[in-house]
Amino acid sequence: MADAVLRAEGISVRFGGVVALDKVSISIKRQTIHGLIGPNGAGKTTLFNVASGFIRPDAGDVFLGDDRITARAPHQRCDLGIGRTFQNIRLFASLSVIDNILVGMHCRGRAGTLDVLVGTRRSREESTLARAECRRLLELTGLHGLEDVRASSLPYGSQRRVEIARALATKPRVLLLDEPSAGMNLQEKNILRDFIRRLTQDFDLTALVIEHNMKLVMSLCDPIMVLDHGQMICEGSPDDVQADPRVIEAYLGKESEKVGSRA
Amino acid sequence: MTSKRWQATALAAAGLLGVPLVVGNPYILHVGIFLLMYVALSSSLNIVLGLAGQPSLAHATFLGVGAYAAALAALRLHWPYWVNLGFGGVTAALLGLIVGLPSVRVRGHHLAIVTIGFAQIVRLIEINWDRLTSGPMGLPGIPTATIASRPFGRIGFYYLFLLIAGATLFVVNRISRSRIGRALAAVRDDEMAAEALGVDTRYYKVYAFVISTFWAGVCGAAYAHYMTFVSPDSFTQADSTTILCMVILGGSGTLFGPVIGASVLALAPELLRFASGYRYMLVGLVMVVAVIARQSGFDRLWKRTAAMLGRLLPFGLRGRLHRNG
Repeated sequence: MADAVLRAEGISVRFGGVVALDKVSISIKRQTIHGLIGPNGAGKTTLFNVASGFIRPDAGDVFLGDDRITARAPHQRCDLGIGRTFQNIRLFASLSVIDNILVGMHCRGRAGTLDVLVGTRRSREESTLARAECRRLLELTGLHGLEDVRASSLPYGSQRRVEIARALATKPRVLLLDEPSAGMNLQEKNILRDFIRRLTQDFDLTALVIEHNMKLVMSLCDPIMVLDHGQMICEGSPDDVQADPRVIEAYLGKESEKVGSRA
Repeated sequence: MTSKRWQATALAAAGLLGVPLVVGNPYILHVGIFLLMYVALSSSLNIVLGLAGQPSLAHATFLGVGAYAAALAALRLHWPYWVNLGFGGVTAALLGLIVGLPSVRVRGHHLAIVTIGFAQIVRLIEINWDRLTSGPMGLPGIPTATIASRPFGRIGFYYLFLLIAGATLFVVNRISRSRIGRALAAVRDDEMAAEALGVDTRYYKVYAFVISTFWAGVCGAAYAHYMTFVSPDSFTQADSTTILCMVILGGSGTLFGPVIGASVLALAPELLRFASGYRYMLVGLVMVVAVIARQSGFDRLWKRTAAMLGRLLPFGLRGRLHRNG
């Protein structure tokens, strides 16, 4: 597909005897918010790890735009424009909020050891610009005023926002969000939904979201992909997915009525 | 840096510069020289241990490598001491690069053991490669450093080590507050997240080892020219452990923590000389008490003490860097 920002073709991953992903292909179109759902152990996070480079697939290839990035290390993929957050928040616990976000700016910085030791104009200007950019991101994510707070001391919901701000600081083309609403209350979830929508529009960003909260997924994402036992069993609009018998059987089976009534 | 901090730093620097002018006692100067050496060693270990979070139990080995490199360069090649300072640093950094490479794959305690193994190998080379190192006999007769063809003397070496300690602290300070320092902190706190955010974790781990061991090597070269003698017994596992203790005791990852740790552990044996045979037992006791006090709120303890002392002391114990544990 020509306008696909991120593509994966025929991805297979085995852990010992377990097939975590079985010939999975995805194609993420620009400026869309893709949802990725499926029961626990379906392989959602594994697919994220393949896309961001933490797991080398046993078969298949990953493309960013037209570039094959299957062999690239995670930090190189970040340079190229893949940003991600983690299911279990992974902030740098000893760093302040702004330092966490500044780490995200790392790959866009160029100052080397000599710049740093001598304190060249380049390194000073770079650092000033980076800080200004971080403030803007803090503003955007509603974290202003919390610059110097130690990240690990923030409440859960705010930590999630720091993680997203940190990923945005890398200036990604594709943002992979692994259960961004976990641990958030209803109000926070709504804010998050509007925020992700605004991001894709304002920043020419494409998002792939793993999410367990059906209401959020159905109202935020289109299309939605469903993984089950390492296989992509369905892809389509929220309505299609909810109507698909395979999905109902594999995932929504017990809860189909409930989801149906909510939608 | 705030102007207050500048003032404090300038004051401390002036004080340290003035020491040899006031103190004539060679024994006290000698203790001062070793103290400054340990400040440089613990601060350089702090780069790899505190900033990057990678354990190294071989720091004295790099001191030894720098010392042997300088000794051999002086004895065999007749290089002047100031060239040897750089040579010792570079040689140690090259070995630091080799030790840093396993850190790409090996983590935590396992890496600590790798560094111990490396220390053993280097020690065995020092002992057994007779033709190069003269084995256990060591290398005597290393020419002392001179300035305008006059020997340095204790005062000269005091200033040399002051320069090295200051340079090491300067490097730690600058790096830790830069994008490089944040990358190292990211590696220390969470390698996976660091990678995901574009930090080349392999590069920065090796980087930390190289910078850290470079300064240990420079120290070693200065040590060789000061003592005019090096032998395998001068750079043991126990010395590496002592330096490690200095960093942890003072607070790894902080700027001034290792300085405090080095001061306590380098001065304690001297101050406890009156206890003769019980001296090192007491040093051990000091360490145990200090670590327990630290664990259970050294900061609060310090704040209370600092409040009591008013603002007499220029530096906070915590330093300005991020605490690691």
